[in-house]
Amino acid sequence: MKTKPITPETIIYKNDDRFLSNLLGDELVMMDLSTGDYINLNPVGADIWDMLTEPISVNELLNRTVNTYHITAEQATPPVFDFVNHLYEKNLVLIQSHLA
Amino acid sequence: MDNVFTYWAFGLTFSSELEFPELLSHELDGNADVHMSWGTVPDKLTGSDVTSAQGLAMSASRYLLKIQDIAFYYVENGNRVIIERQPGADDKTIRLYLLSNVMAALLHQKDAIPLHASAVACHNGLALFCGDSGAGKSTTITAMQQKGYQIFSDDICVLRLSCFLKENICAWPSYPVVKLWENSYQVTGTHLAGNEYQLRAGISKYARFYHSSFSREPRAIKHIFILETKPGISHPQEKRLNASEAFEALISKTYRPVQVSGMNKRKVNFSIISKLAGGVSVSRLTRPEGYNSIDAVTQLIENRLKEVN
Repeated sequence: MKTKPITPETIIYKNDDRFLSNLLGDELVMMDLSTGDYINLNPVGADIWDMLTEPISVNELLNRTVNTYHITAEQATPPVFDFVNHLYEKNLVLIQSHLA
Repeated sequence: MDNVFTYWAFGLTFSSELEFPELLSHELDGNADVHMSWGTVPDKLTGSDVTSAQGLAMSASRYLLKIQDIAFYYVENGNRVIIERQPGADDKTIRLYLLSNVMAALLHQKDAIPLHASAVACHNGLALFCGDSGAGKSTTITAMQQKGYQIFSDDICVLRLSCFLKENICAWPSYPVVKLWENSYQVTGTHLAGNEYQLRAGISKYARFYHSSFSREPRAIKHIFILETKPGISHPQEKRLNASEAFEALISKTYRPVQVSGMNKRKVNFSIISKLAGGVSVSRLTRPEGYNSIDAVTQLIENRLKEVN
């Protein structure tokens, strides 16, 4: 059970060593090499996953999502937070640090 | 010196002290890929990379299987198999375990994936029939044979990352035997062979040999049918799957899946299966439980294959 809460200042990065991914059509399938579990990302999730080429703060992810999909921050916040929490629960991303 | 028998099977050449009527005899051109001999196996496997259970231990390059009263089997580095016969064992049963569990381990050690699928040749390629034990793979290819299709492989098709034919993923066959339950012979109207082809005493499953029409060449996979039975439907149905659905259906279809984790082959398995799901057309073929719908099933298969080619 994860104890660190995700906040807008949280910086996250891909857990590359543990996951292998492959594009299937316009979805992304990722396999957890240590458990054999796999997870599908739909096209929007795959886009957001693509933004994680470097460690990035959740705030910056929100900004990019707002710009990419032409939605407001209010519209973007719940799904992006849900998605990031989901990635964190599944060990797909790790937390680098919290900014003060 | 003991007799040595040489064979081709699963995309590999074998030099064996045991005789295997099931396998295709083959004259070696140089050294065999795999040597199989009688001997004594290690008592157990040790090491931090070894996973063990009752009668079974494995790591990426070593595999030990102990079947009481039959044989103990040891496979090493994808090129050596040692069989330790147990008192009272009959040869046929010794070979049965070798051709299934042990061969799967050998293939995994070579970074090949044994897919739990039977196949027929079609239009310059293959139609695969993928499914768990009892799904109807062998029955289906036997029925397709009666419609004029040539059987390519039964129960296992071998996939490797390196095997592409003009950008199509290809597969190797296993060996020229189709294993059918007694009632499947009746369902497909095939003549049941004598008791000498019974796979094991007490099990009404029989072998059909087809050495004279067996081809060793790998072929491009054109379409995969995932075979399933489903309660509550009245006639067989066939539905195309998208890439994600295909991946989900195929990822569990590696033969002897416990070896994928135990032998640290998740990466290879994932790479091959995701390539397959993204690159080949796949459909799910569900049929009703409890009655013979083989004619409707073959009709659906032929319709799909016409479309794919």
